[in-house]
Amino acid sequence: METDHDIVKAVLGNQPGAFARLLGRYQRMVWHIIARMVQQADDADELAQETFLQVYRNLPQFRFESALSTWIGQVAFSVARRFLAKKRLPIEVTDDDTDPLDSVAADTDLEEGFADAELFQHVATAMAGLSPLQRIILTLFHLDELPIEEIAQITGSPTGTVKSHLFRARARLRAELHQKAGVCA
Amino acid sequence: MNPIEPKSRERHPEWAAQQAALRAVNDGAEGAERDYRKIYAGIAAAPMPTLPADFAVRVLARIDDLAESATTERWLLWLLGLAMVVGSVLFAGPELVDAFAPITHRIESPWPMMAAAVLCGVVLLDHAAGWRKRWRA
Repeated sequence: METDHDIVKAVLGNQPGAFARLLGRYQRMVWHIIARMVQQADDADELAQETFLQVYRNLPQFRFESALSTWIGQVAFSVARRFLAKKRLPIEVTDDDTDPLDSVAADTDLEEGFADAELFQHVATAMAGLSPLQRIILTLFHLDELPIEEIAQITGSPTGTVKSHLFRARARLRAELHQKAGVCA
Repeated sequence: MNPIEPKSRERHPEWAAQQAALRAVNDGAEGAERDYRKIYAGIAAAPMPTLPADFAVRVLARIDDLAESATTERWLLWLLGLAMVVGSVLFAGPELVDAFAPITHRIESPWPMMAAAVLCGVVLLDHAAGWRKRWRA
């Protein structure tokens, strides 16, 4: 299997099809980062394209000080963060006064409350209420299955902060789903 | 923002349930653990805007344009540089020969060679930083 070193070397050597291979390998992760952060398909499309243009322009400066996936993730994250900053949308909500643990109920069972498809739809709705940073951390951890350390590098946050966001975001999702299950029941 | 310190968080029952659900043991899961397992599946399967089917094609087309314009830009720069060198030799050369004539006698070296040496030195210094970085990588 072609390693990241091979792909980068091939792209820098202008080998035909080399960038297409890099794109094929990382477009899904880039899309997840951007689509989860900005949430609008049109914006996500434009920003994901911009990410790969930046990757192409800056690849000669990439020195393998981190994994290629981490570096591309960082580019995607910073492109999306700049976009949100331009729209004056915070990526991290700081006035998190309500503790999600206060509203977690023990007497409702999500499995009984919802069918799978319904639950997934509710999770998507509940995720939209999280901060962009929490959404992206949850997605990279549970969908792309990246380790905490790599997520920390991509988002530029300490590992403790990433764990804290994971913990609070998951608890918040559970609390919201319980609330919905209570309403639906 | 985070009233729960990392150490106490890791002793919290919710954290334990979150972690237990991650281990994906399907038997005997109860309550919070089963909920979190559902939520993890939900996060992975929750609907989100889908990657457009022609995304790669459009990105590659933009990359081709970018590469083409970069090549054109490089050629234009070369042409401009060449024009400047030719212009300098044709127009400023004779005057520079006169101006540097006294120095030429002292250092006993023709000025074009000196200018070329300085230029090479600058180019080498400029490239050396890049080579050093690549060698370290």
